[in-house]
Amino acid sequence: MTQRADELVITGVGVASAGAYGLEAHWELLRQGTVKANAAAYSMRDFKAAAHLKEPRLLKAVSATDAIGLAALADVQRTGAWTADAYPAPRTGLYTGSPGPSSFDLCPYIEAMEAARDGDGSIDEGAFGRTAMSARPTTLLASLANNVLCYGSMMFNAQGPNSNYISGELSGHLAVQHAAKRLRRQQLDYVVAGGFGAHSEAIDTGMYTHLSLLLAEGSESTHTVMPYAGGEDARRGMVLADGAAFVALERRGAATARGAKILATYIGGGIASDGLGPLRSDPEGVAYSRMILRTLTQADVDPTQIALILANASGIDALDSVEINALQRVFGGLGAAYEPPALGVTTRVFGNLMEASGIIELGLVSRLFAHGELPAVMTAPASVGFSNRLPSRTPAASYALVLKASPWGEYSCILLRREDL
Amino acid sequence: MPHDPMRPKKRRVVVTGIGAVSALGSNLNDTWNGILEGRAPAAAVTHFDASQAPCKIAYEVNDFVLPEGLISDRERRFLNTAMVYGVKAVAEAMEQAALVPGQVDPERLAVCLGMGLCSADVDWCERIFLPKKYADPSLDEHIRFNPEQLASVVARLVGAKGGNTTIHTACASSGQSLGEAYEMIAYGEADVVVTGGADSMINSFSMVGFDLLGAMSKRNDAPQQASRPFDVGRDGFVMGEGACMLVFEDYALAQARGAKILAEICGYGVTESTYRITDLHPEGRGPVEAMQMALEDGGTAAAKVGYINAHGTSTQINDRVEALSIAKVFGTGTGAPKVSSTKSMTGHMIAAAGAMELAICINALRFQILPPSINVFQQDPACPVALTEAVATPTELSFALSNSIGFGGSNTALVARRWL
Repeated sequence: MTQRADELVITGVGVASAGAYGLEAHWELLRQGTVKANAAAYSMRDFKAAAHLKEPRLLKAVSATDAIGLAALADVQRTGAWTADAYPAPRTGLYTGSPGPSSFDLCPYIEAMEAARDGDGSIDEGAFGRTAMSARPTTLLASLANNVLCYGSMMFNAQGPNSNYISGELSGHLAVQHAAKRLRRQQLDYVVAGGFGAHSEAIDTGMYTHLSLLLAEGSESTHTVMPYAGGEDARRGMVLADGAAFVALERRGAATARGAKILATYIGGGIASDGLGPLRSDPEGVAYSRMILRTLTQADVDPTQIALILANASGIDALDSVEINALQRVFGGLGAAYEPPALGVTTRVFGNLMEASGIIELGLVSRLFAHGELPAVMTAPASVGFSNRLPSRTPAASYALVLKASPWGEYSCILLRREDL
Repeated sequence: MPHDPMRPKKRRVVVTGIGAVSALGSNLNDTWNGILEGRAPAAAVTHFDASQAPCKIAYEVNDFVLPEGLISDRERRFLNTAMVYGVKAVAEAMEQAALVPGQVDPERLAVCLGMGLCSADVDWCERIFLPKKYADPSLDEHIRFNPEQLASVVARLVGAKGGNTTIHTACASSGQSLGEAYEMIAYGEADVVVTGGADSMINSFSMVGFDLLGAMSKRNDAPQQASRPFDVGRDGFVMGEGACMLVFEDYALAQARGAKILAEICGYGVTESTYRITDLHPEGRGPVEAMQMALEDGGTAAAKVGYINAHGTSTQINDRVEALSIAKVFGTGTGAPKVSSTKSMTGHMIAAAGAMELAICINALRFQILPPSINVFQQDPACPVALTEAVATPTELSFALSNSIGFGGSNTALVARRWL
């Protein structure tokens, strides 16, 4: 496989979830097949972010959710051998995917709301305008969705192009794709991108329950999502998980020159929408499949060169069905001799990391190639028509697709090429 | 023929539709006329009881009606107030663009919006949050807090399948969404992008939050004169609300379908100040580079820019540092561009501000009129820029630039060129 100095490579991965901190620890969770006992186990409410930051003062005016994101960025610095003098500040960028407002953000106002209750016990909104003046001056700042972009940019001295996406499950993927475009256009030399979120709190859980998207707590000993279970299992839905994941991207020539470890080559990406409005997807997966094909075509990669697919695999029955239909449209008609790629699932272990989802996978692709087969906990049912082993038919089959899909009928994919670790 | 995303040559990007909702009016024409008249419709807040808050005034959208038939009742339930403004603005922009089905491949039509954070209010907290009735409320109230809802509805409305993107970088949100939309077309990833922003922070939590930071004006007794960018007596911003949406389009497509072109977008710059979350770097690090990047991006000489719509919030620090930044990039001599901040007339529309202010730049280019600088009773000598006159003034303009500067350090600059 020819390697070019100007191609984009992943050189650092930072991960913080309820299960572990760091990419290696997350790989161990997958390898060992560790699954959580209940939905609460995906919460990072008690996470100690300060222990991971060189400058814990950054946490003074941010939310607990932001702190998770900053801890993951610190992990990128560590694993990516980042140094302050490696790249000029105006040529360094940060792209983040973040959640919108959180009920945590309302907590600083609780005291003021209680103080504003009138004689009949209801809150006098007019009085709240006065009582709230005793809240911390920085109360509003803790709720800003771009705090991690702000403080993370300070951590990396990233003064170049940047952005923050609030597009739900696709946010982290959008960040990576836009970051990569900036590198391709020579507008940046080094960029960190990914997402973070914490949705295991009661309000978000309530909302997703109302939308019938969550796996109901049952009597089972585990609380594992069952992607592609179809009619075989009544427990269908996703599990919300808190977490953050970021990758560092740079050009191969520069990464090699500074001695950075290369984890994979970033080839391209794509986004699409069914255009049907909120909470509506095309069950046939047409837009989803065409996005994948477009991404492959633009990269001059044939579907037969895909050896690994790391699927969205939410556990939401309807969405998983869209995904399988889309994949069948791309890979289903390639002939009887065609050996299908491996289809891997991380949601059984990680849950749905929402804005951070689909990012850890970018760091695991080459490791899975080296491993040769999917850990048992990552396998999909045989009925979906894909493999659990990575085919090794030709050296050209060195590509992997990482997919994201949201119940809003919005899709994203990132195409990587393996690296010999 | 597959598109090559790495093509070095950029495509030309033009604007073919604009829609707006602001305190000045529920369409672009009324908003623009309000600006030309120098109106400042700020008044006592009516959206909530602000009677005991330090800042009791705002630029509210009143008498707004969403035309029937645009969205279904089901979709309406997913949208908060700001998002509904956004739907109206999209409909207006699309009508002007006259883009009909079949003229653009739906997979080459994308949506890229800057959105506010749609925060909860006291009423919601009292009913839901404090009594912890998380499982009780209707779907509607929960889901309206999801900022990405509008992009989803807009995609359905315009038939876009090229992907939805929602951005939040505080006050730079829609400046950034316009910039990313421009780049999507310039670099061949899309042919048409519906872009812009929507926001309403006229609620108790948001206004109190800004009050706690000391960012808002306390001139409650003179609301129409409270927002006074670059005036020596400025004491903070006044909240606005609304939406502004634009249709960005590949020039070749617009030409082929005979669309009326309103302006060309010819430069985008975006930087991070990496200084403090609310304060600007005293020497303008960030805004300076964003403006330089935007000029360089389009190969536009600084001397050609005749008008700058400044971020100009009416806070002490923003206006001083932004003015110094403009002076650094454009100089202070007789050839320096005229500068105004139209927030004195629209209020601070937060995540929608950048889109609204680029739309005003485009109208300034189209109609060859400089928007007025109202409420400047005595220009702050620490703000060394050539402000526009107190009344709208005919001029000759070829290029205009719009700045956005957000809490969190994101800065954007967009350059628009007159279309002849």
